[in-house]
Amino acid sequence: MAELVLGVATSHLALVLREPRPEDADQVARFRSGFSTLADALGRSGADALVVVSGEHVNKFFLDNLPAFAIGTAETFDGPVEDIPIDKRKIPGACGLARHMLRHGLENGVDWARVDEWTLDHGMMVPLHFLDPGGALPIVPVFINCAAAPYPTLDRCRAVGGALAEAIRSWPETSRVAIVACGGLSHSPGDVRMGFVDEEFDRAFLEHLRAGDAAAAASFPEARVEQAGSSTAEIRAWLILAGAFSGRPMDIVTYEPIRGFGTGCAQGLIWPNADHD
Amino acid sequence: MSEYQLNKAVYELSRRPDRRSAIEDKTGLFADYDLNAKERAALMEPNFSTLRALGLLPNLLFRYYLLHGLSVSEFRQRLLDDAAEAEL
Repeated sequence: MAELVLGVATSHLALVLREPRPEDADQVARFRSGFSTLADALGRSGADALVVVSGEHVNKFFLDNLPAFAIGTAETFDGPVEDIPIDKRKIPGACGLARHMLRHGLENGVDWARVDEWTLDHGMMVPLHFLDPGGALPIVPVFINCAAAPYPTLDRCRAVGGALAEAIRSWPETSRVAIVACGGLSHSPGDVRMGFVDEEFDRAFLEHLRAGDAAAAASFPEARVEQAGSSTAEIRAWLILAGAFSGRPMDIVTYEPIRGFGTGCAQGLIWPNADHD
Repeated sequence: MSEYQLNKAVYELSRRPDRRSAIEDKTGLFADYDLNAKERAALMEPNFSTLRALGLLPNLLFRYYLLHGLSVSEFRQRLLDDAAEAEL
């Protein structure tokens, strides 16, 4: 049977690929260094497939057909769709696992939408650029609507994470699967608050994850999340991960409120048992 | 109410390979979308605060301002100015 071997969480902003303002340079260096810590953990976990969870930025998914949750079941994925300073490439899909997760969800209360063609945006491609630059690991992309309200509730995301973990563990193949959750904390692109970082919110959210209390992390009122930023809805990716590793504490690798990026940049790791803590 | 058409207009523009030149002819660009007068005027001006208030998604508003070559600080100031003007 497949094993769930590691949970990785990270902000996914494309700005990290560019030269920072001098006043942000130290923070950006620490955040970039965090990717090395995540990549090292991924290597040590022996993962041979990645389930990559992220919101999307109105590229593949528009209002004409917008699911709450979707799974990419293709044999390959292209990306990034945007013009950002990383190479466009093709990534293999873990389509056997993806189709198992799709079926398992539909039989167990998670009505995934199925996506057989998908050019990924920076939400997934930036983390993958740092974590698996050679594209050696096949992926299952998982979409959550974080871009157009109404969103799936925070607690629903936590529950879907639990179901996702069950699906992975029930796959009758020998495989070591890591979940990579990609999403920003407080940030507001396209909003008058752009540049504002709600450190109070970010730190409270991360503290719940550090304590392994996914339910508390999912208990913020929607209005408080919106107050923290127009795109803070992306914390849903982190909640999927927390739900998948319910009760396990997250090691917060970095938290840097980077003013020039206008967001709190964070990274974390969750191991499935205490041996790695 | 044509919030969907407003979003569709900017979404489709943002996906065009020639978007940077296409935006020079906004009249032609948005002619075929079923927009009301307020939405069309906000796109043409552009009035970013009104576009947001009319329901343009933040990610699309972000792309629309980038196509106008504004810096972050200029964009934020335009949002504030537009909002202040609306209150007068």
